[in-house]
Amino acid sequence: MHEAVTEGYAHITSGALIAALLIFLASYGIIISEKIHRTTIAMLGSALMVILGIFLDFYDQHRAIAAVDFNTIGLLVGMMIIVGIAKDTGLFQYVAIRSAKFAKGDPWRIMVLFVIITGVFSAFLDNVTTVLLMVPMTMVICDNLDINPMPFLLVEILASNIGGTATLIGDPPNILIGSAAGLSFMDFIVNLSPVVIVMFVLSVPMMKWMYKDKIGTSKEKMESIMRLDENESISDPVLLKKSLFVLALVIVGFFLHGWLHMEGATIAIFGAALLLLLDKKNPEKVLEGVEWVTIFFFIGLFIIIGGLEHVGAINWAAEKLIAATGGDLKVTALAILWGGAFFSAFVDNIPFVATMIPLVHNMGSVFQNLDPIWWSLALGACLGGNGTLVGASANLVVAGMAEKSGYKINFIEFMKVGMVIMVFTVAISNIYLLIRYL
Amino acid sequence: MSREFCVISPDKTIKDAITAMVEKKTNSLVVVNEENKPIGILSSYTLIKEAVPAYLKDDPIYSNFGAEGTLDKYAAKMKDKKIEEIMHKDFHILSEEDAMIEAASYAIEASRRMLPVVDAQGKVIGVINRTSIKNALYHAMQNGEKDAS
Repeated sequence: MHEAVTEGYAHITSGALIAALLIFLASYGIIISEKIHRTTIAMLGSALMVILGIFLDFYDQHRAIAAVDFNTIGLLVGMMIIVGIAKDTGLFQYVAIRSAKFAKGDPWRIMVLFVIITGVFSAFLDNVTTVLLMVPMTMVICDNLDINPMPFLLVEILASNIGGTATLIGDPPNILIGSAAGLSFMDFIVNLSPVVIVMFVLSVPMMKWMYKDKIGTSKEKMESIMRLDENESISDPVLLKKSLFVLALVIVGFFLHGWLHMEGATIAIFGAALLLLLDKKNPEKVLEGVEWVTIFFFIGLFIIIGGLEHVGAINWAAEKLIAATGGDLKVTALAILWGGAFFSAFVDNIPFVATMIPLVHNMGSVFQNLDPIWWSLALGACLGGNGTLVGASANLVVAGMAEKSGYKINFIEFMKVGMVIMVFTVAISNIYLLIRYL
Repeated sequence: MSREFCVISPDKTIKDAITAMVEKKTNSLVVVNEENKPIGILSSYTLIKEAVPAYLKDDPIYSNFGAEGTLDKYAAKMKDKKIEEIMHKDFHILSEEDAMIEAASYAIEASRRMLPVVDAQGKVIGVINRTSIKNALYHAMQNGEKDAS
């Protein structure tokens, strides 16, 4: 769990403060501009923060290591290993074909089922893996129906970001928040899943209105779906059973982790190790599949923000934010919800949330109960990902795959739909927060 | 070295390339500029790879459920693409004096099935393909046995 920095700031010189702020702003500026890879900048920024921290006496290597949230890192790595092995079993394709047949090949019903599948898988796996598995299946089904896959791809992007909001492991901002605030998997289920389900229920009619007429097909094409054999997708039934067993164990572990006094990382790493053992796969191959680029990005961010905390900048910003909102919990929470959504729509939500976390911790001196603010932050940052094509990595993954297959998702066209859904879902969150917490 | 090879210019289309391959019964073309110098290699492997849509490349399992006519659709999409957009530009060039082991070492790199051989002016005069290397291996083994007996 995140420890708020409690030391005084009397020894901090204005030079140190300016230096730390410059490193932070320059790093974030370059990350947002996307001129240089974000991981390179995070690593460079974090190293500079430590070097300057030593010279100007506000930060050092021990504090930098302490600033890294290894629970988040462990949870991400563990889940990446489990998903990396489980994704090749064909389970996903099996579920998709079964549901397309259950829909009797009717495009609109398939769309609704694919939205649900994408939402549920995004909640329990990660969004990027979910869409990576969902897009090819969608293209194949649309080829069979001889319809344009574009509406399907758009609703799947939206569903993955909404679904990811529902659980602690669904979206990286939630992992960060859960770990730092000491909120359990069950806390997320109890507090966020109900409103996410409402969002899905209310979004489907909007999707129907937007797309139902655009995805018509013929009787024969619908029948061609019924001829697909879902069993062909199961490439390795033994591995499928092992993966399902471990996934089930891990998810049960998550549900109980608060009660077991275990952090998410412990459960995820245990599951990963168990699956590696059962599968007898070469761990070198599996570990190569872990997105180390993302992991190092997180580590770099933690260290940069740790520097800001130790120099007193976070404390200062928290005071200013509270002053701006008049110390009113309702105004603060809703400002974070809407501000977070619009900010996350245009820039990476991970650095935003990573910076907001210590800031919210600092507000603990003013507000008795920080939970409404944590939920506002989670809802804003996750749902904001739908606002634009660059709002979340899943969006870019779908766009990339679609473009290479001859379907270009235009930035403005996406925003017309994405922004509407984003504002709609954030408005639902707003009402929910007001009724339940504020 | 084989002196039977086909050349094509980079501004021709994929359709032209496939037609040449089918008519000349070959799987690779040397792409040459106006001076007959090699600037690229085009193999049937590259053409097939171009035809398979991106969403099937990571995991061919999805194609088990592929619709009739999907290949036709993507064939139509790519037929007018220029050869220079898809040809292999990173390839190894041999000269007549080079040893067979050099050809063999480069030929085992994936998708490089053919190595052009050039003269002193850099113009293509032949190719080394897998058949050439296989024949060289055959001769090496035959000669080895003869020497032993």
